[in-house]
Amino acid sequence: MLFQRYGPCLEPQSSLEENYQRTRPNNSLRSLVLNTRTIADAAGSGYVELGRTKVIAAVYGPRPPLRSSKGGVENAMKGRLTCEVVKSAYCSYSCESTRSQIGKGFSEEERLLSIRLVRAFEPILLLDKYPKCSIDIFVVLLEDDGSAFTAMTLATSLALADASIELVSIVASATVAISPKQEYLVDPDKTECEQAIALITVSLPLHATQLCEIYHIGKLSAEEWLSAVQLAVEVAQTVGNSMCQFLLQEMAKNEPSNQ
Amino acid sequence: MFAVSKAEKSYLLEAIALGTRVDGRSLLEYRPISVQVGVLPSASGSSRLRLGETEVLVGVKVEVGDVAEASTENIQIHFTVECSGSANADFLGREAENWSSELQSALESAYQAANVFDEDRLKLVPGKFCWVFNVDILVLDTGGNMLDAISMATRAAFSTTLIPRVYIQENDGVFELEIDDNPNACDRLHIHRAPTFLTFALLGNNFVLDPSLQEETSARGKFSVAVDTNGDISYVYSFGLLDGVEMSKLLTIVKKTGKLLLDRLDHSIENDSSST
Amino acid sequence: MPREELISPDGLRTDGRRPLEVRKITCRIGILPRADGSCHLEMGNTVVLATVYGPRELSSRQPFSGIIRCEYSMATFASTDRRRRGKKSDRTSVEIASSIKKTFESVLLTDLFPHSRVDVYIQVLQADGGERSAAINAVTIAMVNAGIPMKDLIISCSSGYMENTTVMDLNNVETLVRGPQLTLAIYAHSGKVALAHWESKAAFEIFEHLIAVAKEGCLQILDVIHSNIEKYSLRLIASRDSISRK
Repeated sequence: MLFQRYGPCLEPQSSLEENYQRTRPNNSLRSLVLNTRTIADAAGSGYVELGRTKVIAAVYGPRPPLRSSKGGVENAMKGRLTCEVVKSAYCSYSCESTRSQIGKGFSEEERLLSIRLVRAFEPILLLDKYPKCSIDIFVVLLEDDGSAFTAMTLATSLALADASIELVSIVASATVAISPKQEYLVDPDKTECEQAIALITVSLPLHATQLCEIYHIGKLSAEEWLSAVQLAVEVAQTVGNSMCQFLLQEMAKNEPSNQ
Repeated sequence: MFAVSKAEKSYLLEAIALGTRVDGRSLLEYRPISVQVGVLPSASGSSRLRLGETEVLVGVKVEVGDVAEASTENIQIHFTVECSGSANADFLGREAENWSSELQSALESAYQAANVFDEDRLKLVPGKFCWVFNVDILVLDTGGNMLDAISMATRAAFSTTLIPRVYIQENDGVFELEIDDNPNACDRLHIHRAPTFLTFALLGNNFVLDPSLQEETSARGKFSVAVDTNGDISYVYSFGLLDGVEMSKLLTIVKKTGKLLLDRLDHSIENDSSST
Repeated sequence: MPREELISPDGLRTDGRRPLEVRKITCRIGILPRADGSCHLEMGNTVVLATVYGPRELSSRQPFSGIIRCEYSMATFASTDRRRRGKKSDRTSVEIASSIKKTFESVLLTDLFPHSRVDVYIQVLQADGGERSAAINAVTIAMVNAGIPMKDLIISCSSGYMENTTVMDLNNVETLVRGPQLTLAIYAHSGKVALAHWESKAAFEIFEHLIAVAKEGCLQILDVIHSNIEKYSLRLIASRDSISRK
């Protein structure tokens, strides 16, 4: 499942939306590419490809906060986690929406993604261990072909591990779409996301029985929803396991060179 | 920004562990809700809702808008959430923008997913004209659990929204819309499917429904669900470590409380609109 | 379209008032429990919510006297056509906010709260003419509610000249005519002018006349506001008595 290479950059959109056909089984992921140390200057960085969705995350810190926080004494006892998500101008095939945003600072979507990432990772990081410090995460969405938040979570997780920041656990994530035919599609691409009647993203710490983020849009009954979450959790665990495997490999590779 | 001291927080958490809250409510109890409809004469539908200390004012304005040729949409809804300066002077500061866009996107997603409106009744000319609903939400006072308050107020405002009658004339493929001037020639919207949000705060190991500002600030997580009268879910956002086992329990509560809440809300809207 | 008649042959205005009659004023004081002072003021169909916080600590060191901050904003649904979002600080709002700030600086005893500030927030919920006056009146009441020491109350009223008649307390229809219009604020007790806003051209006699009419309007409004404040205070005293008797 793991490839140590960068994927092909831009493929023409092969399928028209009307006669779209999923080419792989409903419960399988697209090809997953993981990489670390993509950005040399950062304390840690991660790169994730989910099919054509590509994300780079870089972690800086722990370092003294750049902007003074007004948090007061209690906040100074804990580290601070900040996050900035940027969508590249060419991240989707219809560039119009993003192009108009250039030079206008962060778009609403980017800001919301940043908040979601901070909230997902805050309980995972052992911020008590980094008093008066700031840990800054920068995420660039290079290409968006569905399940972008999942890819961002994975990349951030890799970057944090790469930066050796103390975590409760690696965070894994998965997206499940429910198609108009009531099929549960794992790791949907952009077309599937757009056609879906419901879309659910779940992030969880791998080594705990808890969830750290759930985001769901679309009308479902409570039972259907629970089974979709269940499926997403299972997929996320698989992804998380391969992530762990990858990190262990990386560690083994780097260890001799350190000595 | 609103802050809670360590002592306050531990007091709050201990009380909740014992099954009670600092304002005397039980864990799954809402604060008193009062709603008033038709408060803004300049809007097509409006409401003012108070949930404990939280107070919001919602105005719905209906207009006919143009749509792109290819699109099939009959309805557009735009939500804007604005925090009035009166709400709280230093409220959130720079974060205010994030705060309001988060609320906006939650409402927008929930309304879109729930397919609230009767599309057939509201059809104008597909690919030419559609109804545009501008929902302007003004927060007058922030006392926690903004999402629930806003969603209930929006439902209340929509349920009193009057849509003017429109006559469509076609001349050689050119459509002309004539809107009835008579203020009585209006139809009420049917918004039975409009969802309401239910928000739990995660405090210690307990879930607390309808968190106050104090509880919200000390919470380690939040679980928001949009639910309609059938118990169908159209939006969920949860953060903070949460046990997977808890979820089915929460959803049962959501289903039951959501229905109760919506019924009560509809009832009080009916009462209020008949009295005015 | 023929121009609408603003004053009927009987001498009545579009909303049925006589020329020298102010609109119905209702005010609710202290409606926001978390603010230090608040007032929900309705002048006819113009509805304004004023909130006062303070005096409270000022983050930057300011020598001796306290300062006032003022923010004025109009709700998106305030007028009949929907105002686009994101114009919280448009020019008119900033201008009104700064004029209100200056007006109240002259009357607050800022020396009594050094190194601190008073925040004033004005939210227009419905705009039907005379928002500036309504805002000033609402702030005055909210200041009283917050218990901030003032030398005097400031009361405001508008007046205008149309169809050879001077009218007081203009509504939106009358404002849109763009005739000579004046917004006046006076100190309640001394009767001196605290603020006059004038953006038109008219003969001096008319201006003088408008000032007199606006002043008369202020006094009418003062009566209502004064009795409202009194009622509120008496209710507060009564509630305090009932507590102390227990």
